Amino acid sequence: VAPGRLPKQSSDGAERRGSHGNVRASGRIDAAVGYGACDHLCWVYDARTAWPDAVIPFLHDGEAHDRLLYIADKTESDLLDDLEGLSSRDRMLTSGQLMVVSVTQAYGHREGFDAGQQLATFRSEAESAVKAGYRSLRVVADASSVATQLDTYRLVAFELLLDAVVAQAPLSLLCGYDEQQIGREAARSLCFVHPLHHCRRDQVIGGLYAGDARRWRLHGEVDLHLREALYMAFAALPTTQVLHLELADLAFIEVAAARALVALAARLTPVGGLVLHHTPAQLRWMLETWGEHPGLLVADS
Amino acid sequence: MTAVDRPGFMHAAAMYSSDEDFLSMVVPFLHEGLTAGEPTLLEVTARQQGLIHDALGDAATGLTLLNSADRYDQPFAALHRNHQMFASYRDKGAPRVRVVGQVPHPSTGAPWDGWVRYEAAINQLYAPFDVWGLCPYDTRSTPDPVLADVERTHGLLAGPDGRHRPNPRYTDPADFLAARAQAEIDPLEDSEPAVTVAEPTPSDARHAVAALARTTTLDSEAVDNLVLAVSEVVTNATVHGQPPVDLRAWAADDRVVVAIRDRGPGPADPFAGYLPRTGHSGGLGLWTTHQLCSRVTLSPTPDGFTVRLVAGTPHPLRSADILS
Repeated sequence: VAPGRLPKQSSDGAERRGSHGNVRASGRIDAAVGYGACDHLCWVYDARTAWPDAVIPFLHDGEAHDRLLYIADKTESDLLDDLEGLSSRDRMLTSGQLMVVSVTQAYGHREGFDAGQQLATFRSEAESAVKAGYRSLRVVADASSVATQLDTYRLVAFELLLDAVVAQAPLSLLCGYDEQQIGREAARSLCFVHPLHHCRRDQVIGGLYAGDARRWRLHGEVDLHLREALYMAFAALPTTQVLHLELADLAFIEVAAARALVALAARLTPVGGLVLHHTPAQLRWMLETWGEHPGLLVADS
Repeated sequence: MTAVDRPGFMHAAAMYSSDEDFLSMVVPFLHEGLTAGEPTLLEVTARQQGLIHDALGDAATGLTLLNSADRYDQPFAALHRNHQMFASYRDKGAPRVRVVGQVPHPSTGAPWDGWVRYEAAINQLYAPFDVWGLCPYDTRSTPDPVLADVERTHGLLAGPDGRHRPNPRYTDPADFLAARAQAEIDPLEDSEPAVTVAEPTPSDARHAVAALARTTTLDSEAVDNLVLAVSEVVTNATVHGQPPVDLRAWAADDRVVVAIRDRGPGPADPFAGYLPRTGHSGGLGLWTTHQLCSRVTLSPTPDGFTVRLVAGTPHPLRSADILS
């Protein structure tokens, strides 16, 4: 592994996954174009990167085959205004291919936010779309208002669980966050737990997302800039069973982040520990140099 | 057997020029330890082990042999392992530990750069332990500059009669290391840096240094190691130092020199990074950094604190006079 080598950017369309087995698209993106089932995008917008600039192309890609769902903290009228750029908006609304719902309708009130229920709803809506003859369900959700109501840790935990659903379901999801509303640190933490992310004013060059074969994938360059995001993501990972972490796309990891792996393994010891796959040589050396690590297994592949 | 016998770490050098010399300095030392019931550890060449066994006879069975292949692979790893070993003996209530250990140097095929730091730093870092160490050096094969360093880093010198006497040339280890760091500033630093990065992020620093290092003959592992070390040092400067941080780097065919400066005073501990400090933010990173480069120096300066990293073949001392 050569530190300094960036993971392959998905915006060039080269790192694509099919419905089975291949690596999901990951990395920084400049446009929400060319994505489909199993893709999970985080789009942090600000005054210069308008939200509709992401919404319209992302939904447009699904007009031919997908059921489309748009969720934001707006009135129905404003939701529809956001979608003016879709040439077949009205026809899709009439046919039921396109639905718009407010955040309150979609997620309930903040006191009642139930992550488990939300995940089940996304899964069942995706299955319903397929039964109705669509290729998949394509969702755009501006979750800025949710982010201001939930603490970032809970939202990160939810996004990780949601990513595991998206990875396995006929579902694609574009999450929008208004940087002004949620703040730079929260935006970074949320980008970190999406395989694809766009944040104009921040260099998020790594992350954690759900991979194949029940493995989580840690990718990119994880250093001081992403340290707090990594700590939060690791704290939010489900710890009910052995956790497998795929590191094939990890281009760099700093010492403190590597120590966080050791701490995560220790936390997972009661349920069988943490298994690292395709561990970069330098990380392997660090772990060996530091000594014994309860709960940590470095696999051969 | 010695003029100085006190609790704590005693660090003696046995500079010998024949097998007879070697045995006269080492055997009484070991015998006394075995007789006193002290854990008595030995790490020398296989041939020397044979000589010692012949001299000690049955008593040699009481010796604990250390495997030098495992123990002396890397100076800062060895420093930690020995520290843990001595702590373990202490925690088990052992009386004083004796150890005869051969430290690698150029005539045994190892670069001296890290080992001279080891020899200096252990005077301070092993002070909490009741340990008596004897380091044999063969004056026939050991280069003179190494022998000069041995004299400055050992508080005791073994005589041909086996007695250990205070060494008047011994230098306080912090002073020794500070002077050495100054004397080791690479002549490349007299020229304009090939790379300068003002207020680098760790990522900026990694990419800049990686690009420069790839123009040299360093292999990819050495480049990767330097890049991680640079990232850790810039991270420490950002988190613990005072802004602005700057990075300068120079390259020759056989080495890369990187100087990272912040405007703070640097760590209060002159031995920072010599042992892992897992309870401290940055403590493990600096220790890891020491194992990644051919040379690491930490230098407080009037305008801040500079960490210098060298990958490849470090330039020899600019002026040995500085250390005289």
